[in-house]
Amino acid sequence: MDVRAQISMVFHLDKCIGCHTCSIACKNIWTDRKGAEYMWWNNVETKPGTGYPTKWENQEVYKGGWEKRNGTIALKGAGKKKGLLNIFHNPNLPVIDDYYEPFTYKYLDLIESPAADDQPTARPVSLITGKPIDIKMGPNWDDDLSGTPDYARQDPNLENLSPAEQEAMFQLERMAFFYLPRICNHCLNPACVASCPSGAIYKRGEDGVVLINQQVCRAWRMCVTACPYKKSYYNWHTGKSEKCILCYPRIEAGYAPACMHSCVGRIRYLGVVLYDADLIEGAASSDTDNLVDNQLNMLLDPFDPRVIQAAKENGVADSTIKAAQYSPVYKFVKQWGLALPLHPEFRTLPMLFYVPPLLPVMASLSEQNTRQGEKMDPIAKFWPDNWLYDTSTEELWGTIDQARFPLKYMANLFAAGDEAKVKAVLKKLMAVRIHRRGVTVGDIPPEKVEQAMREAGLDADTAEEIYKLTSLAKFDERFVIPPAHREQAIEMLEFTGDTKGSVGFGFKEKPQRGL
Amino acid sequence: MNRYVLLISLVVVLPNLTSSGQTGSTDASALFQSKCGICHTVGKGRLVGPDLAGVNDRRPEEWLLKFIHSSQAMVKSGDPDAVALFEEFNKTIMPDPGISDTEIKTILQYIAENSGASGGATAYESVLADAGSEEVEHGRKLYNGNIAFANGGPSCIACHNGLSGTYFSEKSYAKDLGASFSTLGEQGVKGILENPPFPVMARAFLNKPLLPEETRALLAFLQQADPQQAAKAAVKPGSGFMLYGLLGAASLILVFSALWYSRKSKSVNHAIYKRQIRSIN
Repeated sequence: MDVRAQISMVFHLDKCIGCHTCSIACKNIWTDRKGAEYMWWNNVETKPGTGYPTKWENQEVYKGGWEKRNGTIALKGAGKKKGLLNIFHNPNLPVIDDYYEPFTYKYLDLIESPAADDQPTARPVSLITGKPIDIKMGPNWDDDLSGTPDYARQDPNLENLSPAEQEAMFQLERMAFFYLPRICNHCLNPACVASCPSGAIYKRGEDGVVLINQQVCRAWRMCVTACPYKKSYYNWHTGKSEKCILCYPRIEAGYAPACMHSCVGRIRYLGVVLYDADLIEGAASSDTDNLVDNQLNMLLDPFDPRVIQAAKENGVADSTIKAAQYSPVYKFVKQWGLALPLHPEFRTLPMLFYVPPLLPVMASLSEQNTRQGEKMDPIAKFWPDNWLYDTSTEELWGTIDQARFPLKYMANLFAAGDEAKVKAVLKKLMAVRIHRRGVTVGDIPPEKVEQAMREAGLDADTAEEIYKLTSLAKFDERFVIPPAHREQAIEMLEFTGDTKGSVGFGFKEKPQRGL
Repeated sequence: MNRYVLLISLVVVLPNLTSSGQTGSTDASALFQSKCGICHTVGKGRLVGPDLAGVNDRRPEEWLLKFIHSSQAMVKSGDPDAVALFEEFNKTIMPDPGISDTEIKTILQYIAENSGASGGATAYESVLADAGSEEVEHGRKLYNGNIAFANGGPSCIACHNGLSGTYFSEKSYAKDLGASFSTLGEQGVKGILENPPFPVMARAFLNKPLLPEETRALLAFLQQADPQQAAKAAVKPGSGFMLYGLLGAASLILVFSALWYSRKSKSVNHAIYKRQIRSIN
């Protein structure tokens, strides 16, 4: 048993309101620099949708992540042989048009234009060329547009859904969508680290944050190809690749990362989990059916004396073990089994988990609503279709089976296609709601509540705990950040005054392209 | 291809080797030999250029001065006599000797004095009568620089084209010597080899003259190379080459488009962008 600590995250999608505050917080702190304008280390996508960069989930296009071959795994689009073959031209690299061309407006024209007959306008200019452009795309261009053929219907997760199911998702007035905030997953088996020819990317020992050493990076951009989540970005100005750093300077100081700190919906949870590094290879190369189970099996019980013993032997600090015991992530992922990894089939063992949205609580019933038509004026427009939303919980799980998002779609996102896993999570979420409704409103008979809890495998205390951590959790309960132990980390011994007063990343040696 | 133009691209004014302070008939003779004698004779028949015996009588002195200073300038200005001469001698350019009016007059004086002296042309005797293939091979090696000249002169290929049957004529610093024999004749080539009239070549071989046997071997090689070069010039390269090139390119395009059929060739947003209306010109 090789016990290590990993700072892990849970995003509760039912709570996300799609306000993009996280993206803006991240951009303001980290990527408001030349060459980084197009990067969104944190972005929020509308699902169904194609995301950012467009169709990032389609690995037939971008060749990211790992694929299983002969019982083991290999990088899909990078690695030694493929890297050498594509050394001068990497065909799977996303181009700027796959993201979007960053732009600003010439605001100064509004106040500095000479007097004329026409109102001055602020023309959009490219942040890359500086010339006027037509804005063609933005990082969340498909925001809230889950019904458009350009975006929502191109969603790679619609694979394996029947045409009827797909059509049902996009029916007018029945259309539904949810938000998927994404940051770097700080994977346990990161493809970006494996692909880097320069060895510039590493996973930090003390907390598992994946970082790119800006002084070692040689602009091969293999990480951009290899990361299946497309969360490594190439800075064309500095000639280095960059990615989410999980705000490690904030974490070291005991603050939550900027995106989590600013989250309006309080959907984000952060904490330490202990895992067994010996199991990484086995978990990453397991069969698709067992991927999620094997990944979750790697996470260890921080209360188990043997685990604690092994962790101590491995140099994990006592304070970190204590943080792991209070970790909200461990509760959501392991204790309650409510959170699942995003696209486990990429085999990178992502350490960012999502509580899938139960959002379409209002399921549709397929019955003709003729009574309403009788009541209405004969000339009134009336749809006698089955678009009747039913909020009753008469049939406890019927609503989940007939959800507006087919279970298959959710399973494609969070469980490598295994519907049972998603269903189990949704059942638990539903049971907690039924339980709380029984407590607060009291219009659900106790037998029904009990039946729901039994079928979901929960007891009243657990449901109450889930409810509290979901709805009432305070800052310190959502973010359990282990102390940074500055005295042990050599890189922290550098004098911070060197960069104090300067903005953002900063470089001690200014990176330049070419010789 | 009987046109043979000795194109002197770099007209450098050689430091005047014959000091201008010297006078007298021996000096005049030496001056004539060094500046004119390779291509011209006085009363011994035409070599590369015409026999100069009686030239003072044929042309006015003013014309001669101008012509000797720069024959090409006169040809270009359209002087009918100069053009006629140029045409008569296969458009062989007479290099500007770079000497002063007084020196030219000395030479003209020398020509005038010797014009009546000799009686008719003496036949040039070929030195290549018994040259065998070994001699030719030796010449080729000297030409190509496989064997260095004994006195340390640069090998021919340093400035001239290779003559060993390459398909394309490569660019060279000095003239292609392929047809030198048929244009200048053995005597002319021999004269140039023994005493180069061209400024750059003269400078290159200054104090490093060729040995007689080296000259002979080179002559043998150039004589043997001459008909080959003529035959080569008759072949027009191009049409077949172009065809094969196009076929090759087409097959490469086919192979790679098959190989890279599923490659990502444009942005995934291409279709969306294509529909958008442009407003920026």
